[in-house]
Amino acid sequence: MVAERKLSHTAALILHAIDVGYVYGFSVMETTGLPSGTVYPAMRRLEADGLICSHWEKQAVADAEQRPLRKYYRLTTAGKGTLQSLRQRYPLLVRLIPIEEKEPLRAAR
Amino acid sequence: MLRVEPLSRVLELGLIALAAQLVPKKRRQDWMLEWRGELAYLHSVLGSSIPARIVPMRFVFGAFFDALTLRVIEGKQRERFPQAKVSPITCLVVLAMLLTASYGATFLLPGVRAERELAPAPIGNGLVLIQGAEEVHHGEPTIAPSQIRVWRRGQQRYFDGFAYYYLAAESFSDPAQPERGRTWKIAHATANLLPLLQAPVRLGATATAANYGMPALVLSESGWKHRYGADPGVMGRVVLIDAKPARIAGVAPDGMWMLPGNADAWLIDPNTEQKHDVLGYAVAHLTFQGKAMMRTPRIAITAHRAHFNTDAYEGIALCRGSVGPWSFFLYATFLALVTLPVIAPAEHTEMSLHTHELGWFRLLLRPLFYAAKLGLVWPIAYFTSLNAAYALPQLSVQTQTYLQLTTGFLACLFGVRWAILDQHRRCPVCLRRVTHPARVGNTASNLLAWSGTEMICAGGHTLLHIPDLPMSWFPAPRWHLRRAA
Repeated sequence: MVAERKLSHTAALILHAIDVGYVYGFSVMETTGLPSGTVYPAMRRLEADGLICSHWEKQAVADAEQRPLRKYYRLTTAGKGTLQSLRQRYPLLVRLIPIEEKEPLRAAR
Repeated sequence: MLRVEPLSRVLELGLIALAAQLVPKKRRQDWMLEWRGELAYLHSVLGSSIPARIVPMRFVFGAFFDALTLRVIEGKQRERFPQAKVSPITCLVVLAMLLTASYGATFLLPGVRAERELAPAPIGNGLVLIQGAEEVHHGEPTIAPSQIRVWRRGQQRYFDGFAYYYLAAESFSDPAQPERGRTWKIAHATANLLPLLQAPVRLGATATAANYGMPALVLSESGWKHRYGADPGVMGRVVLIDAKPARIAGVAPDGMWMLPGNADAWLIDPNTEQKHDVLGYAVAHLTFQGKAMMRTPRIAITAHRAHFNTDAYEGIALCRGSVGPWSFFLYATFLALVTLPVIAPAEHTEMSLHTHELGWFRLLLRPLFYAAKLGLVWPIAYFTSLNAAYALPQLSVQTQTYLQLTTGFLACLFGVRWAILDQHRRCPVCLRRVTHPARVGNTASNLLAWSGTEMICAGGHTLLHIPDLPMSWFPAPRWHLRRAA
């Protein structure tokens, strides 16, 4: 079992949002209600700690939708383990962003 | 196909590019791509599905926090490797960037731009205010317009120009804002008054076209700010002075007026000298001979009339140094330099190395670098104080002055303090900051043991010995050149 990392409620909320399906910066910002100056730096730290990882979408997808390339984030195995512990520590996370909302389309909204 | 981006979009992209400079180089391109993509997405959904609190400009400011975070994270990851300490070139480049940014902001902020244009220029000598000798101490108007006409017609030896004005409280109304009409103190002036005073009036484009046959009105800076919120768009607008039309032609800065009577506006009226029932003030320009005669600030003037009658007048010299943002900043600088010894360390660094070991070039480079830092810090402090004080044009002139004095003082004080502290920690050989502790001493129990910290230059050139407890044999930090280097 992954040892619980001491993350703030904000970081936990962002981690939870990514897990639920809000997989790029703006969607996390939109869902959590946090400003860009909080969300993006927090995601950098989570990535540096190995809890999430990022990848660029395929150029063809962006071209088809006539928009710039987008960077997607997902939880790593360590991130998933940490999030499980965090959900016990912050039970309101699930009520703030219900897990049932997860939709594959949200990622490419 | 070429597409023209709106100005706000260009500004947002410019801010992202600026923030990208904080991101480590190897991750910069990736970072910019992500932020541009997110910004493009924000614009595509703007006003439709996103909450109103998400404003593009606010969103873009988050990029700076993100860039800083990334820089810190990258810095931490590099900690196990020898760091390239801040080189003198980097230091000067950063200062130059700060200077460019603060200077550029003076053009971008409308209030600061207006203040720079309005900054009063020194008013030349050779001007006298002429008043009746009896009433001169009361500052009351004493000159009738007919007197000016007589003086103009006569041949003058000591004066080569006369200007005239009188004050009147008159109703001021703007048809564009009819509900805000009120009484203003209007100075009716001859056309040559403001040019004679060399008043740095900010003129609108319509001021040159003879104002379409109506008198020109020059607003005072405080009147312009109070009535119109410092709106530059009022130039050329027709207003009613005592129900007569006049066209706003310019704005005169506060502090420009050095004559009796504080006017809210100056009406440049060709008929000023044709009035019969008013008394006003006369301003005359001295000829070379007149200046030679004017040895004291006040001089008695006798005007000859018919039948050997004379009138006694007094001429008061009008000269004044420039008072404006620059003068305030100079005063703030003086205060900062006086206060500096209180917060700056009095210690000096000694060098236990000989000049021939360093070479004259390196010896010269160190003070030059110090001077360059101070030379950049000072204008940064000036432009920062300008931006802080005059960014909001709706503030009163007094508030702006206090704000500029305070910010100028603090920026000067801490800027120079930083330059001094930074210089103390620069290796005399490579001018990089020494931050690597080579040895950390403990407090000595018998005063003979070493108690201090020893720093080593990243390039290995020098050691800086900093005593924790200054002794008579080791009173100040001391540089040692490493012979092996």
